[in-house]
Amino acid sequence: MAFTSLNFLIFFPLTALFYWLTPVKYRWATLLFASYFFYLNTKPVFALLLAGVTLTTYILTRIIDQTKLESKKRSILVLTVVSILLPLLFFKYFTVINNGILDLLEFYHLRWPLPEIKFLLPVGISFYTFMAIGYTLDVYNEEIEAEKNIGLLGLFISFFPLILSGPIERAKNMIPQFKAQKGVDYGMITQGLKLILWGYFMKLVVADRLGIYVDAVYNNISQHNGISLLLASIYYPFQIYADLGGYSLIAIGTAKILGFDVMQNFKRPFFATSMAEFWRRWHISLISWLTDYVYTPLSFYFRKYKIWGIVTALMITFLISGIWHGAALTFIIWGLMQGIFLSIEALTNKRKTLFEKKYNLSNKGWYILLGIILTFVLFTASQVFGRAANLKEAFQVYTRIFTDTHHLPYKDGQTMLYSAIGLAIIFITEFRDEFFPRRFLLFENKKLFIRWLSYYTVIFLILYLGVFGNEKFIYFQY
Amino acid sequence: METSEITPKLTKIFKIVFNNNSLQLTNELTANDIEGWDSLSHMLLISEIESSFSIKFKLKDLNKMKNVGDMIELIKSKF
Amino acid sequence: MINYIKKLVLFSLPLILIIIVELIIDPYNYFSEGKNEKLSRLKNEISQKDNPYLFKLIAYDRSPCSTIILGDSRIMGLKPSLFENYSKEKVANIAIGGGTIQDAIEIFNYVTTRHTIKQVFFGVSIETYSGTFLRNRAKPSLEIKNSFVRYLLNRYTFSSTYLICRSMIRKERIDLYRPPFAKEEFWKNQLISESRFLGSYSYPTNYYNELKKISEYCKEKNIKLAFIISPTHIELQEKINEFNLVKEYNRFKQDIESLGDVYDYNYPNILTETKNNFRDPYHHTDSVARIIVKEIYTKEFLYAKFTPNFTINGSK
Repeated sequence: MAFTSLNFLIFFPLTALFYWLTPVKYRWATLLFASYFFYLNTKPVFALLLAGVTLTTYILTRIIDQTKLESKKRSILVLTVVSILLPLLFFKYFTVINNGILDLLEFYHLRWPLPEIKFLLPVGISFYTFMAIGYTLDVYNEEIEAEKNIGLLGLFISFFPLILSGPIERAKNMIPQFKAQKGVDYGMITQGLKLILWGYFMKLVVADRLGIYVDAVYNNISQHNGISLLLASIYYPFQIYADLGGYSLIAIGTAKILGFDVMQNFKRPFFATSMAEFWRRWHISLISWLTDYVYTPLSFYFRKYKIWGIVTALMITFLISGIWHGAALTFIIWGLMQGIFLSIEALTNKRKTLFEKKYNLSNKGWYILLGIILTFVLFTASQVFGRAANLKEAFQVYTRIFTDTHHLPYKDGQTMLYSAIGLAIIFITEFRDEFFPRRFLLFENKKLFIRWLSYYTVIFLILYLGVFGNEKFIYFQY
Repeated sequence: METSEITPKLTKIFKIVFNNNSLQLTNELTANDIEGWDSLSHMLLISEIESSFSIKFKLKDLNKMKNVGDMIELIKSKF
Repeated sequence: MINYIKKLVLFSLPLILIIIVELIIDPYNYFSEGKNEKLSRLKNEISQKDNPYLFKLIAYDRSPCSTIILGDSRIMGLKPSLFENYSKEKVANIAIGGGTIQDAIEIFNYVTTRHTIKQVFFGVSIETYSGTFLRNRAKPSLEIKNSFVRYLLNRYTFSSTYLICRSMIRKERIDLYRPPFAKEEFWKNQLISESRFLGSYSYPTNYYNELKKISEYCKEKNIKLAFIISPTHIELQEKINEFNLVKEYNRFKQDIESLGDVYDYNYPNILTETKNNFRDPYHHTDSVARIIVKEIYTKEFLYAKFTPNFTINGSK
């Protein structure tokens, strides 16, 4: 069930209630039960897969823990990681690989009727797979001991606030929290509610609203002119930020109400002044996972190649990131672009720092603004590949932005107005947090009246400007 | 090797890698405290330390280095 | 813990109060028919203009009719009372002002899945039969209608409840829509705004396909399908020539003639030449509405160009 469904709004309070009514020692069991119930409500049969991955991880990591011989340990590690990855690779990439093989066979005039099976992707598999692999690697690296209680491990992998869209958490952070027998924390409940409120605002008022325009244009590229394509491409990064960012806040807030601290997933990414900084602020849980488990080992093994070792590690890491996002060529290009941006920044870093020191630029407002704009342009340019259905369309978007002046720019007054209002509110709030933290507080104001007024304002903004249900105002069907 | 021998050598490496001649190392110093010390430059630092002290780190060692103090201890253990 | 719950309840109090007032007033008659005469009058004036989709569809579901009229404000003039002299079957006019063909299709699909329909009149025009006007406002309102939680927590219920209360308390009339000018000026203004429609005209392949599906559905279910092109003043019709859309206009007519019966009133004749027959270039008066209804049922066509479609509606 999605966080924005009415079902969830019934499920969660009930779960929280049962959770607090359960004696402290067994609360983790209530959560495990609730998480599987939650997951069964998406697609029952995939819960078996989830349980299977959990069982495999449990058994193999306990063996790793007991094994002393280094080489044997490593072999079991590889076995574990491969077993956990297999379902993900299969479900996500089978169709692509299958089609690829079919195309190859056709090219050589061989026609073997390979089965064409249509798969539904198990919900959350990209996320829980990574959480399980992270746990395995942590056990191997002796960061944590293999968990003896399979229920606790199962809870970590299936924890319902996180399973659908993250943040991708670490066992080191979550399992001790599941074990700690805390009482009800009212401060955290309030904090959690505030996060959820703001998350709903971002998702329903900004993300889904922008999505109306972006979908209308990107789902029919040939019908729209250059200006519309440009506008939709500019909207898109904001849409995914509000979407994933909002969803993450709801997830974090939900966990907080239950008394758990989950890592922040976004930190005002559009205020970054370089791509390197951008990736420290965007989808933080994914990037830190990739950094710790892919980039660091890779850059370590390539360290004798100095800066070129780093470049290689970056390219591979972001290639993997691209593939993780989707089984398509466009995502690979997207990943490679990120790798290229960061590599260029790494290669020119020394010169840049010297330049900045020489002219004392790092505190100048216009220089910071320049960095912000440049970073935004680079990210937006790469996101065209993230949104377009295929390579051909992505290149179409690029060319037509500059050449197409036929047709009229697509205008949708209400959508654009409401989006602008939502974006402005987010921008002002984040501007305050970035440059004037702890001042002009609303949700955190000392006065109760101001806090409550702010909550109600946001509630009414959501109800007035929000997009509910599958509201696609535009309906193309050819 | 003693800490007193390691520290000055390490300080010199830090000064070169982070382009900052006024750097002073303390045991509690972490990546947050030095400008330019991030995951991109960390590996360069590690590589320099290895060649300078003629030692070899293991991947597992990286996680044990939370601050400069840990770093010095780890270097010491390689002798 | 009790303190915390107290705080939560206190915080929710305004919201709870609002919901209670909404339950009492029920501006769209979601929960019950609404017997209070004064309240019903207010609802007709306010709620119907605030969200006509929600209002009309709830009303329709309460007293469904087997004959429905869909379209925009032009065909809203064909009031159900006009049909009483000609047909035993009750007629419901669920056309919505400013509605697009997409709205009409959405409403058609919604209604036909819930009720038995025997006859449909689709009001169409070259302005709405355009690929530029695809807005679907019916869908969100239908989704509100499907859930009482949504009904209580949506902006239309809020605003209608608020306006109704304000009207009752201050004893003042609330008129949501008022043309800002006097008739002459408004007339000229409307002619100028026509460029908004014709200037951005594009052929609606999607609408043709959707209407074709509906046409086939009607044939299968034995529903009589008819299109009405309401009369507009010749000064407005002139704009079609002005914008070089004669070919497109003819294609539009050909399209709908292939899909169902067509009653075309929109061409130069005595009716459309007379300014007194129109409130503004787009909307004819009630007397014209009476003529249209009479002609449809008596088949005595003084003004309509009637093109029957035998493949859909069998022999007459």
